[in-house]
Amino acid sequence: MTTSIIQEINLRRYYILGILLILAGWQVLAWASHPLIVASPGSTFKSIFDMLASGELTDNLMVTLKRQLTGLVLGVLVGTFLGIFGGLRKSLDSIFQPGINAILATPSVIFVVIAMVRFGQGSTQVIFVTALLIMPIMYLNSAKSIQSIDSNLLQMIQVYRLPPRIKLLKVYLPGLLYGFMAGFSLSVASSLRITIMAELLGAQNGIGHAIFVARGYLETSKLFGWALILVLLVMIIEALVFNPLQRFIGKWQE
Amino acid sequence: MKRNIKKTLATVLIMVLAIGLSGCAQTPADKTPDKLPEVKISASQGAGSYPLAPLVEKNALQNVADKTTLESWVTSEQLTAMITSNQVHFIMGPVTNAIMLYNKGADVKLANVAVWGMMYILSADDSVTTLADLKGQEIAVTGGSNGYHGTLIRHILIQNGIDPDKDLTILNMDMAESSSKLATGDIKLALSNEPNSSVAIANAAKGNVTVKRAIDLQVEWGKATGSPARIPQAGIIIVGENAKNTALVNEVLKQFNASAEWINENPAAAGPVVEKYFPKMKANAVENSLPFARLEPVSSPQCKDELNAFLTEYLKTAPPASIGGKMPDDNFYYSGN
Amino acid sequence: MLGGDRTIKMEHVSKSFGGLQVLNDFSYTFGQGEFVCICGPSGIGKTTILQLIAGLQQPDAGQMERASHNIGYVFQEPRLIPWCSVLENIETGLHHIMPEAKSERRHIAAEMAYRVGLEGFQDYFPAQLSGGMKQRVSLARAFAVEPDILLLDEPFSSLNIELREAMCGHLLQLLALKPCTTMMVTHTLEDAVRLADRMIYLHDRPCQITLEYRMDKPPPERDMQYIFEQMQDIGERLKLDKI
Repeated sequence: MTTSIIQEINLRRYYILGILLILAGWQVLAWASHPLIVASPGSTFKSIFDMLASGELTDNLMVTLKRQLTGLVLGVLVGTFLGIFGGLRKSLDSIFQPGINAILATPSVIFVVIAMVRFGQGSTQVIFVTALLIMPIMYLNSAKSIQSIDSNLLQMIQVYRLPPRIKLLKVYLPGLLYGFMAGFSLSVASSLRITIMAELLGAQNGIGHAIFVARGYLETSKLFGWALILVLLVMIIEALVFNPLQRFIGKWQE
Repeated sequence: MKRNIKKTLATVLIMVLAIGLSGCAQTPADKTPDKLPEVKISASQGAGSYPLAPLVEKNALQNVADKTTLESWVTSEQLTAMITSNQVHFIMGPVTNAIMLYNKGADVKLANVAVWGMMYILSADDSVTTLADLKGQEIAVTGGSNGYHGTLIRHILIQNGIDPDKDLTILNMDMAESSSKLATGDIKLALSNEPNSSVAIANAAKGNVTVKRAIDLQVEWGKATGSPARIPQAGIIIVGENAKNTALVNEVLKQFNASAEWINENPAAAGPVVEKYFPKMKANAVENSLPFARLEPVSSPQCKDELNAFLTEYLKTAPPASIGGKMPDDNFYYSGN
Repeated sequence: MLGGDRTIKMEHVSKSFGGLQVLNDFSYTFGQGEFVCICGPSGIGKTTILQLIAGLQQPDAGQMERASHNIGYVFQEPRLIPWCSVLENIETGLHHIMPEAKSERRHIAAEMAYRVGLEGFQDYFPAQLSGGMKQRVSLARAFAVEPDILLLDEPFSSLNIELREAMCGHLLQLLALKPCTTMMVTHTLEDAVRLADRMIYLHDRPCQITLEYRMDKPPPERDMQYIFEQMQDIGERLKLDKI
């Protein structure tokens, strides 16, 4: 127990060292480059504080998170719902597959443009695109999880005459949950990326739009500031959602 | 790692040599400067770049450089990278980009304004002919409503009593995308440059869709602001120390003017030459676009007042950040000495 | 000690999959309390016979004569529920037998885990176990239901020699404790000669019994010498019969 705690502390030390190394490398890179190309850590942090003080950061963050969450919930609901049917019926799966593959294979910016023409600019478009691109992830994971409650396992259950209630509780629901968790932990991080991508072109506010404007106005330190904020956001999401979910389902994974 | 150190050393050596050499070249004032082995020009896709093609074709800069090479740039990141790393001598590009870069500390100067507005609202809908007709419509604009083009439209609309945020929708879509969407009928209106407008019109015609230049943005700008129907849009940007080589810059300006004049007088002959150096700008489109391109180069000191007047007007709607925070000072303009 | 009729009669059974006739007019009787090994080349229909006995397949024609039994089935792969612990997996078959007695089920499962040497691993998930351990869970699950009929489908095929030995040991111990009619499909003649009372060798399609062979010593008394001789004998008979 104590050794593992000491190990943990040691690892944390190296983690901090890693961060310091990145900062040092960044600073060196900034010295060697034009400030229009690489903003220094100092100016980046300053721009973050400025954005915090002016409310620009919080406002855009809230707008983006709201869209992300709405899109995520919609995509997860629709994807899981369709996934359950696709998982139970091979024929339905075959009907859905081409559409799912088409969505996955198409460069997502095309959906943004189409959605923009249909819904105009703003939240509707962004939420639509987020939900649309999250849906296949959830579909595939939940359909797969049901399909992977394989015939072998079902045969075993038949031999041992497992009562229907236990069958649902111990086999079908956990099986679905397994795929759901796997899909969900993937979706949470992707949805942020998708939302921001959709905002780049098709919104008048939010982080994506702020990045688009900073880019257009050559505000490099702001651009770096947003990039840093995104890195932090993803790290927070990983720590709060992704890692616990992965640990949870990791126990089952072969 | 080792290779990188070598590279850095080599770069440092070259820089020391370069500084030493440029120092040598400057000392004797009466001596003609050494001829450059090569002049590099990077140009955007637009009418301002037309004159560069015959200029290179005829090797018109032979008095100041052994050869001239031409390349294209597309994104603003490329533009920034080229300038901050001194990869080229000259750039043909939007004036507002040059101002922004200048105000952000990049070493650039404006040599001339070559194009005085080539922006048109293309329409697949015959009924759209005036600004008022835009109400309730969707219009695709590259860079969206807060970009350069979007701000111009918004300013004009506001002057005409139309609320650009409520009365219509401005979609952020690049010109290639909006041109194809015009042809397929997905959108009805788009703001476009030359020669992209000619290309879009020709492409739409192939699919039996009639697209027209419905509204001349320059004319509307003039009406709305009480100024001539001109917008200083694109020009030659001098990168870094090259501005000190007046012989070079003056020769470039002289030959550029001559080339522009020839193109305006010989649109049919100019088309193929331009296409040779800029394969995306097709000969036909180039020829057809010339009457709409306002390719009338004016060298830097002479265009300063008009540019300042334009910026003053532009900033009534645009945030200062859109030109890098302030009006460019006199140093921005190449003065020839 | 053995209650009820545990004889299994297959009478004129036919079974085909798609166009493939696996069994045609196949008859055989597995005697009460007997340990029969079913050998033969792969794909001949050995597993089909087990599945017919287990009720996982229904015959196209003919009759399967067997009373309603508790069946324990050790599959070729462990077939454990990935998100259930070792203990819950062993419990699987008990839900039907004693739906209300939760603590009783736990108790039995824990005892079975102990019997197969998994007492320290009760709360582990299958993914955390080695291949041999997983197969032992599967064996414990089968014996937990106190089966009248035990079906083993190449239970050792994925194990190395050492694990195979250990599994054989566990199997014999459990059989001594809870005797039942046992049918085991195997590739390996050695397994048959070591464990079974009787061995049938299947051949041809639809499959025929080419050889039926009885071991005349009880398993504990079979030494290396005996096993070697029996295997040679079987080998020679098979060669003769094939010609």
